[in-house]
Amino acid sequence: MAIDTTIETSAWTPIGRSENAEFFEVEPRVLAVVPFDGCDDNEETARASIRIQLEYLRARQTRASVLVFMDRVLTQSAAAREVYRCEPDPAFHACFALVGGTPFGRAVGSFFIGIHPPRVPTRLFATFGEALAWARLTAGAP
Amino acid sequence: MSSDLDSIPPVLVEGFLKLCEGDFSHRLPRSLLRDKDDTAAFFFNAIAEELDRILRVSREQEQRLLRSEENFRKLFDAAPVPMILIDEEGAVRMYNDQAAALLEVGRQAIVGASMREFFADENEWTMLFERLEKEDVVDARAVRLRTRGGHTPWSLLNARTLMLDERRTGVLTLADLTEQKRIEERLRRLAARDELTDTLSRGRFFEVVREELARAARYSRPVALAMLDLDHFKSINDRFGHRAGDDVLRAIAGLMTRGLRSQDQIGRYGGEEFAVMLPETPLECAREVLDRARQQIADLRLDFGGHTIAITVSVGVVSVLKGESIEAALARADKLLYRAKGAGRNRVLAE
Repeated sequence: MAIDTTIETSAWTPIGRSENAEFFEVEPRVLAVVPFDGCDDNEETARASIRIQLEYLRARQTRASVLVFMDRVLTQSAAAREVYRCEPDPAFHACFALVGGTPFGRAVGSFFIGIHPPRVPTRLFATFGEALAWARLTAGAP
Repeated sequence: MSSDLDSIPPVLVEGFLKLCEGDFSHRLPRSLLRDKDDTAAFFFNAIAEELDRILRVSREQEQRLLRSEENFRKLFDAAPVPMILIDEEGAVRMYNDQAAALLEVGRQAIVGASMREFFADENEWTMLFERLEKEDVVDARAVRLRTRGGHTPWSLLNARTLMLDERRTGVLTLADLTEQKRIEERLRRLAARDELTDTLSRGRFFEVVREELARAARYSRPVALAMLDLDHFKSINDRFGHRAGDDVLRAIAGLMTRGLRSQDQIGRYGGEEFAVMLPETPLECAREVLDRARQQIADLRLDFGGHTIAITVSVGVVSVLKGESIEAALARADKLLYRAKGAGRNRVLAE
C-alpha cells in the first residue's frame, strides 16, 4: 500500500528551493522544510537546506522554529546528519520539530535525533498539529 | 522460540551476523516502499553506516595519536640537552639520547631506577626532589652527578612538574658544567696565585694581609711586613734572556717559600719584587728569618745553558704599627729596601 505523504502548502509562503526540498514560511517565526517525496538527503543537500534557512532568517534578523517532514525522505546519509548536528545556528534556529506520521518517517526522525542530535532543541512528533504547537511555543510565536 | 526467530527476515539476520563479524560495509537492499521491511532495512543500513563511520574515525584518531607519540619521541630524543622524565616517586620514566650519554647508560637501561642513584650526594637529590614536589620548579641548580661509569660531572639542573598521561611527572634538563667548572677553578687559582712563581698574586696577598692585620689588631699581636727585591735582575735578563730571568724568579720564590715558616705568606708584588708577611713575629725575629733566607739565596747557584747564575736580594722589613694600613706599612718597608740597595745590596734592613 502506498503511503500518503502529501503536505498541504498552499497557504504557506515559499521562501526557497533546493535540489531535494522546498522551503516555506508557515507563519511568522515558523518555517517548514518539505522534502520532495522519495528524495535522498546527503551532505550536499543538507548544507543547502541549512544555508537557505539561515539566509532567510539572517536577512530578516528573525529567530524561528523549523518544521521538517520526515515521511518524504527515502534515504539520509550519516554525513547529512552530521551537517544537521553542527551547522544550525542557535541565534536564528529556535528548534527543529520533526514530523513523522509513518513508521518509516518516525524511524528516520528517531535515528536522526538519537545518533546526531542537533545543537538546537529537536523533537519528533506524529502529527503536523503537535509539531506546530511546540514550534510556536519554542519560537515564542504568537 | 524457533517461531520467534522465523519471523525475523533472513536477510536481516544475515546482516546482523555480518555486523557482529565486524563487517560494517554490509548494506541491505531496500525496496524503497517505506513499508515495514523497508523501514527495517533503513534502520540496519543507518546503523551499519554509523558503526563504519565511528570505526573509521576511531582508527584515524588512533593513527593520529600514534603519530603524535612518535613525533614527541623524536623531539624528545633530538633535544640538544639531556632530558629525563621522572615519576611521583622520583624514578626514571623516560630519558633521551643526550641523557643516556651523560649518565653513561644504554637506552631504556635505567627506566624505573631512582634518580637518587645518579647524584654524587644523595642528600642533595632528596632536597631537590622535595622542593620539586612542593614548588613544582627547581631553577638553575649546579649539581654533581654520578654516572654508571663512575664519573662525577657537574651539571646545571632545571626541573618542572606537569601532568603527562594523567600522572604527575617531573621534567629534568641537565646542562654539562664540567668544562665550565674546570675553567672556574683554573681562573680561581690563577686569580689567587702568580702563575710564574706560584706565590700569592698581589691582590690575594693584600687580602690575606688585611685579614691577618684585622686579627692581629683584635689581639694586639705583632705582624711584620717585608719588601724583597732581586739585585741586578735586569742584567740577568739582559745577559741570559727572559727565560733565564723567569727561572731565577721561580727558584727564588721556591727557596723563599721553603725557607719561610708555614704561617708566613709570600706574594709577587711586581716584576722582581716580592712582599712577605710574617704574622705573630716581632721585628727582630722577622729580620732573622729574612736574613736566613737572604743568605740561602746568596748561596744559591743556578745553572742556565752552561752559565752559572748567582743572585742576591735586598730586603726592607717593618713591624706594622697599630692602626697602620697595609699600604703604609709596605711603603715604609719599600723605603728600607731602597736604603738596603743604597747600602750595597744583599742585606736586610729592619725598622
